[in-house]
Amino acid sequence: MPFFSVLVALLSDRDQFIQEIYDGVKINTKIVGLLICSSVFLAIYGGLIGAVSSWMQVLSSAAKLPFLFLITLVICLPALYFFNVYFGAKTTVGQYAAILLCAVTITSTLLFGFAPVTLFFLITTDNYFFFLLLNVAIFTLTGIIGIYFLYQVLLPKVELLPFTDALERADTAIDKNRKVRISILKFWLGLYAFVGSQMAWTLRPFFGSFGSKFDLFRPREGNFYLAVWNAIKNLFT
Amino acid sequence: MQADIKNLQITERDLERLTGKEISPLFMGGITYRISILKNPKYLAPILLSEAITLFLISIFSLPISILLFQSFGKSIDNRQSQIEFAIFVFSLDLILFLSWNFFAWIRAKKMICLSHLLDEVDKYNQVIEAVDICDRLKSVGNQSANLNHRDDILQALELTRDSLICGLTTEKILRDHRRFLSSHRDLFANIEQNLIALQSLDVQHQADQYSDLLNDALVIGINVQREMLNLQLELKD
Repeated sequence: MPFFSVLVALLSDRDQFIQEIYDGVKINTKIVGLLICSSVFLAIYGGLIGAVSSWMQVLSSAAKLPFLFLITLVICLPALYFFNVYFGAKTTVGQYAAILLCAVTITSTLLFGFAPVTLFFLITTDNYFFFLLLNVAIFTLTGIIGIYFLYQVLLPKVELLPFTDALERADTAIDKNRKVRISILKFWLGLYAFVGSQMAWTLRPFFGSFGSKFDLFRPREGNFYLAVWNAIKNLFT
Repeated sequence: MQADIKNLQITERDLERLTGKEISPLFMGGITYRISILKNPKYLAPILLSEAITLFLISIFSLPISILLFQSFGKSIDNRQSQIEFAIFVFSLDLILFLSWNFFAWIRAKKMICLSHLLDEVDKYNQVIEAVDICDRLKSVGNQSANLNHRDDILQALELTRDSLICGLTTEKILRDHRRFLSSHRDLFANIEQNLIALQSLDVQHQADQYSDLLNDALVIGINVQREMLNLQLELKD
């Protein structure tokens, strides 16, 4: 299948893949391929975690999980693009979209890799809070790997200057610009993680509850971090 | 593959450079179907798979949006009746979005129908190149039945066909990008006609089957390219 060949190309030679994105090689094909691969893997994992509750939760989570990642990308993409354009980047919106989709695809592939572990604990445990915290840990780990990938790819490259004195180099406008862009990138990555976690809270439930009534949506109360803290407390009481 | 044949191939990279679009067996520009493949049963399974994936992606976006819409209208989904209503709503939304997507895909594909036909001719041309390469390889292992007696004439015919195809693709791109561009395309049309006349003047009286078949293929490709260009010319006059 041509769409999964894009995934294979990404995983087998990431550097070459990213360089092709920056060179503008087959951007549309890459975007479509990455979108499909990440959606399929996220739908499978979403369906798996929804299996805690009922078949309706399976369908609901299978749709919500890809939607969560993709809508977070759409919300945060304009900020990334406009900030970088303002500070002199020549990368297009399509290229940024492809790079962000690479990160989402890597996260989704890792989640898919964790699916047997999740399935094992789904079958062998009936402790809802343990299962919840396990998945928070899995999502956190795979999310950090995805964000670290983004950080490495989007980091502004050092421009070679004909200076031999490092102190002189540090004072140049180009270097100051680079430092500002790195700060903005770190801020944007934090924003991406924050928007993602808040979006996850808004779209809950993904797990449902063991044997309880199916909810498509829950009231907007509390927040993600408070819920995780309460789950940790309940696990040890 | 021998170097002279290899240089005659029109690769995917060449096609992207000539057309300005990402070209694959199924799509032009990443998401637009090559309309001519719809008639080919070999591509039925990949097309159905693409449609299924499109429907899947539409469902992913429509289900949470439906949930949000139902919530904002104050409708709950607690009982059987409201769940059936919700399912019908989601199904209808999916169907509307899916049909709209395919309608716009059809319009996009129709606009690039000439490019689609030219790409089919490029595929046929590359198959002829492959046939010549196979004959060369068979000959190199001592299979005399695959001997091409007039290989140079075949290469010349293929070169002329290649020029016509490149002219056609370049013309199509220019006309697609700049609809009012007229003067240069007349010269390009003249070039295609000259190439076709040169092809037809080559001696096709020889007995070897492979030779006449290959020349015939090259001629047919050239005629089809000229037909597409004439169609484009008529479109411009309208």
